[in-house]
Amino acid sequence: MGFIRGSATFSRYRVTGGLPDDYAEAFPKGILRYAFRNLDGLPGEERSTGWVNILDMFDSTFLAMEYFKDPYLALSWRVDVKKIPARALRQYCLEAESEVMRREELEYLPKSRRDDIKESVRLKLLNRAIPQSNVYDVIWNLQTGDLLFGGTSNKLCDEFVEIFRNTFDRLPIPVYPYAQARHLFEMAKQDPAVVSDIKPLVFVEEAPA
Amino acid sequence: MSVMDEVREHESLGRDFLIWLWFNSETLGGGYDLGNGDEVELWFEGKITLRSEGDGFTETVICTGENARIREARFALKEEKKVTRAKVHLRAGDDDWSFELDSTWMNFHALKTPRVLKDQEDDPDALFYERMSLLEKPVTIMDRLFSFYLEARMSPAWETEDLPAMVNWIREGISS
Repeated sequence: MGFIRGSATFSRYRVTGGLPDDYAEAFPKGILRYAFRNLDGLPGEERSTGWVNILDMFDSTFLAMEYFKDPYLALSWRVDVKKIPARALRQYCLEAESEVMRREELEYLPKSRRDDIKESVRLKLLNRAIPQSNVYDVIWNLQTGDLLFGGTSNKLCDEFVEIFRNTFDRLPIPVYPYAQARHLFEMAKQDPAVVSDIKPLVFVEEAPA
Repeated sequence: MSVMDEVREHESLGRDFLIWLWFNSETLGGGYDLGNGDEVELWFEGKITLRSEGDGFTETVICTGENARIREARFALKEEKKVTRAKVHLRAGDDDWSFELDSTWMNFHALKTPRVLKDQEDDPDALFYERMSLLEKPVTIMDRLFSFYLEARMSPAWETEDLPAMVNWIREGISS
């Protein structure tokens, strides 16, 4: 599933302002800076996101700068999440607390001690958890500024806009009907303000008097 | 004004565009001349989602299938429901695409492109460029159709011809 094979689901953006003169040097630096880092190398982290090769989600080194595919820049944004089931965490915590109370011959544990045990159990379970990976393809036409992002949920899109801006120092502007209508009027050298005058269609018939 | 506020305030633009496409596909055959000899066809197929909102409630109607689409969906338009998502089929020359289009963001969902002819093993780059072409083309065409819709809305004929024809179309749907 995605832009390269299968069916595609995507939202649209427009990147305005042209490209910086040094984009061929600046973009690779940004991409490497925000490249995907595996959770195995990030102890204690539950989530990791970053850029990977659009043709290979396990490649985040970009040795040949494969993302430059004139006139496109093509990447995937990988999001890995480790989840610990709440019930499992609770059970393992109870077990660990019982063990500490037995070993130290305590009748009860203060909250601060229980919090420490919980964090320790969480880290232990996190190391055993298998991350769930999602990959969202990104295609940026550097000539036209059109940008397709393979995600549609508002939360995901907000996060994507942020990482894109951080990576490329460019703000992607979402394309939605009103913005697109204004854009079309501007392109036709017409006043885009008239778009606001377009009234919603109403098909409800008046009840006979 | 934030993007979300702007999207909500002008949400009707996308919803009414979908109704206009639906109306055209059922009454005019869904054919469009893009100029330079390029013609496309667009029709609704399979699934239409409509929604109405009131004080503290949201009602959604999902119509699927040929007969249900005509009766229930058109009736829902008269009940102040708006089209929020539709599955459409787009044909340009020998190429066919199908996808769901949502009215709020005009996002593409589950876009199926024509079959890619290039072999990834032989030439990954050729596959990439062919896929890009097949992804960009429906986007460009939908932008074009949206501009046709805006032209129709700004035309003096909208109030005297287009809108009355749409009202008739809905009325016929109810009585069918």
